[in-house]
Amino acid sequence: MTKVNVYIPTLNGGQHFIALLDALAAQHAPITQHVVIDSGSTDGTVEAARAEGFEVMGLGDAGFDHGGTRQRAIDAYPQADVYIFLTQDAIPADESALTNIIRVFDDPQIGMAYGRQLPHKGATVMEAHARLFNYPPQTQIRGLADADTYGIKTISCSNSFAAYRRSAFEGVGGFPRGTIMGEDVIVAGRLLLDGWKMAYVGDACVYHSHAYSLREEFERYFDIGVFHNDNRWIFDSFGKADSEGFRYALSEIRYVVRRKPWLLPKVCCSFVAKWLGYKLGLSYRSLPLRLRKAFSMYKAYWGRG
Amino acid sequence: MKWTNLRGIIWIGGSLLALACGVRVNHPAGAETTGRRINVKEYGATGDGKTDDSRFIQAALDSASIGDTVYLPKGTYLVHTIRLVSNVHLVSDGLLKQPDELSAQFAVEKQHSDAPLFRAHRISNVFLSFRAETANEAIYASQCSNLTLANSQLTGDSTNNRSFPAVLWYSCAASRVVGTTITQYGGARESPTTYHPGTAVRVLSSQGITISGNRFHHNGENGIFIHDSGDVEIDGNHIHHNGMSGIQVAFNTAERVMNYRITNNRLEYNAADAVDINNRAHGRVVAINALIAGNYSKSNGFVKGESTPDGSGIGTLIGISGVTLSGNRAFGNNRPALYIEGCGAITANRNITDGAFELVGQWEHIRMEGNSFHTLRLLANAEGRLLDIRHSQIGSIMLPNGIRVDSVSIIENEINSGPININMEGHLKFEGNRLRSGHESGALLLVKTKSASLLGNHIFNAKNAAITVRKTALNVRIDSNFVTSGGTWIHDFKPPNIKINKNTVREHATKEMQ
Repeated sequence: MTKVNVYIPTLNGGQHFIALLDALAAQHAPITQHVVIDSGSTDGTVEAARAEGFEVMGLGDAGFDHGGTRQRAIDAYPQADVYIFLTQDAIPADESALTNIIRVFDDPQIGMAYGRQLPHKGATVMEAHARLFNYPPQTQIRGLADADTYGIKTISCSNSFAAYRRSAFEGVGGFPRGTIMGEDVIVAGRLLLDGWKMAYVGDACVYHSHAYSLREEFERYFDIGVFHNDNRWIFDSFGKADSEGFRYALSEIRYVVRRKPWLLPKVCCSFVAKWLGYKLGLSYRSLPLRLRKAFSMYKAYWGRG
Repeated sequence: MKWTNLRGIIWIGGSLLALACGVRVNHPAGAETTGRRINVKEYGATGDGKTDDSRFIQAALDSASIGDTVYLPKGTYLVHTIRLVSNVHLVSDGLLKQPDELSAQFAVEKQHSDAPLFRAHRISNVFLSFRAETANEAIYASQCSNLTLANSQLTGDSTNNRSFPAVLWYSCAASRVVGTTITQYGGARESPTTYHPGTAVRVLSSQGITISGNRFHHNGENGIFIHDSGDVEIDGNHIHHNGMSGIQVAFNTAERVMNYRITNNRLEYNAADAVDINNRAHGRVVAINALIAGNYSKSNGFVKGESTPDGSGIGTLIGISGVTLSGNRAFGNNRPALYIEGCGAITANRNITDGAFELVGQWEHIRMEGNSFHTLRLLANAEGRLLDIRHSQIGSIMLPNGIRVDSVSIIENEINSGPININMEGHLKFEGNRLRSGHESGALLLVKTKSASLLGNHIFNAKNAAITVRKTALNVRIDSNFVTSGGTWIHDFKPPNIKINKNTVREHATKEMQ
């Protein structure tokens, strides 16, 4: 039987994390170990996880690092065939979510998989659109040969709900350390370049969305720009997104006009914030450290030497 | 509109202004800003370019506390050697200059000078940013950790034909060179056969090294030379007009040589290879887990228009395994874009080049997908377990007689120039390809295979038989192909167990082939 571990990085997870614990307890899939790697919660997150029998570990001296922290959890608890990652606010939508994502590994060509993200109940219209646009209901298997069709979207994925085959994951060296974000995309890219395939699993669903303010949109896209600048090789290998951004914008305008047209000015401001953040992120090397830090959502990243 | 949104817009507007103003780096990432700034002029340094300021700068460094930054204002500082101190940084707006008479010569027996500009030994947590003209190394660090050299400009002595490198790290950890220009260390290469020592960055027996966003040019030897080191990231550098390879990785005990990321570099007009990872001397294949991706190379392997013995564009890989090459582009280089000799598992995907892919000696598994390249060439001694080529644009495939490959799969490629002569010991899958040939010898010749599957190919052949199958080719299946030939479609020497089925053929179709 396939041995599966679940890993969740946490920091003051709050009510979403409690809901996640409940949803995990209800899963049909047998899980060997649940591991929480906590960044110093003070709201009872650690205690709640321990009460559910989770292994809890701290960050150590290294501080939080999207790839490094997750890799640290795997290094501490490596004994599984499939590693599942969730974020503390990604709540399985039903009891079969984990079963469905694990099942795709029956295909020996699949190296990683990621699940569908649905907007949280009460999500804003823009949050809802983002999830519906990026996470359709249809399952899809993608390999390197699809890069001509999908470009960089070939390796689109998210560690909010993702699973990795251990042998494939180790073969590409695990998660990279010291990347501002996108450790999941880097691993997916390495896997496809090494001949593995990845699965988007439309029937493995979690509720996961964020209500970002304008400033947060800006910061998030600044970080995306930094990531793209630092990892241009991914685009050289898989191609660019081409008109995807434009398609997304049009889709969002249509979606909002049909539902809450008075929010259009906010949508337009959000486009400007994203565009500006992304462009600044792309040219981050010519910004002084204090501006990089100010513009970034992941402030601690810039603290290192 | 809510106040929070308005505040966001104002904040973004401010950012736009910062961008429009072209904000420049004045205190690079990594520099401690919590300590004091110590001006060397307060310690007697003149910066007049005539007085030896070494002892004043040294005094400033020695008086500093943890986290302090020693600062050199504008001026020219004549300096012999400065000893760096743990946890004390140095930033200079002035030019540090070593006197010419210090100039010494690199030798294999003595690979560091006695008088580098900065000497660092067993120290840690130091940030350096400066301009310098040096006679020997700009910095020689041994057994150090967390050193950062950033946004610096280092100029060597181009009249010294046996120059020390600009940056020499020996047995260092977690250290980096970023945003730095290094030039003229060593004399320019004058001939295709000889070069002059002098490398921009030389890393020996070290771990956790980042070399990123730099410009290394017109140095005597390599842009970057790494020996017996691991966990190395070489990203976003522009390395050009150096006397040997842009990036060279060499081995000693080999245990340490692993985890390499060589990405997004621009490598051009270097006299040897763009990237050379050579483990030939070590005697066994070493798995190094390397990603070579997103690099661009052009016109490497020439000196004054003459070819040197080197000059691969994507990579020269010898005696290694676990390498993925992806998204690289290479044009106008002297030697094959990708040269693979005596390797284990190599994967090359989605690279574009006008050069060849060349396989020499033994290998385990070579997989190539989605590439565009001029020629696939195996040399006569080629011997491998698996060669898998698919979804690629290939100019021609040259397989000499007598190669031994357990399994060759050539799947769904565009091959623009036949013939392909397959005379090998092993199993062949040639499926879903589009093959064109205008050659007298036809399009495809099969000799001596253990088995061959020709399935679903589109073959366009101008002259004579499109497919020739010799008697020594065993277990041949030719099925569901579309063959248009200026001559007959097949010349079959009646090998045992040949199966020919459901092929669509047009013979003597000279009009279509013109």
